[in-house]
Amino acid sequence: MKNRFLFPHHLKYLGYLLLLFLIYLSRFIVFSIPDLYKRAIQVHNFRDLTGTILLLLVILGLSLIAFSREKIEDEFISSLRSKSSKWALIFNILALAISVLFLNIVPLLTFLVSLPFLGVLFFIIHFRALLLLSKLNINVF
Amino acid sequence: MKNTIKTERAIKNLTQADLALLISVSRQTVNTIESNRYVPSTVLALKIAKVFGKQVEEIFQLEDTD
Repeated sequence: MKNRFLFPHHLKYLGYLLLLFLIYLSRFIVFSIPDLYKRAIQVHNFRDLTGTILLLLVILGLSLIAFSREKIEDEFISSLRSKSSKWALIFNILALAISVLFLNIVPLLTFLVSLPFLGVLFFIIHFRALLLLSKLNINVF
Repeated sequence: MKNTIKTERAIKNLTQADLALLISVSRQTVNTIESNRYVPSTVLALKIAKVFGKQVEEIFQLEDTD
């Protein structure tokens, strides 16, 4: 079964390298998603592209990890992928509802800009966990 | 849904990896189908039946709970 909407398998490692590089960079630059947004928004005033570039790199790294083909991408892997994306959507909606209930405007906005990234991160962790459990013959399907 | 893949494999003297190679999936997928943890698509079920030279119904059977 062909899935046309995935990156080639080896790009996953590029994604991991990119995120490791960004984690390394975070030792030198103040580094959180909301902070990067702030920098990105200030581009027009200060001509500082750091925020925009770093934000795009985070998006690229996460996307490469989440949406790269597995070594053998068959229908079982596809079913795990779709299960994880459903759970990621549920996670996002619940997180949104809880944050709207409990957070004030400033922390709410700070959280909301990070939410799409958290969703992708949740997807990656959930999908990897399902793969691992299936390898260990544990029935969660 | 239950299946007789394990028996059929034993008759044909195939390992899970051999069968996986013949139907272009991973060994892990064959393992999950064999242990009733994943229900294959019709295409994959037909491919499995073809490998064993049998009808799909001889390999996959419905259970009362289905």
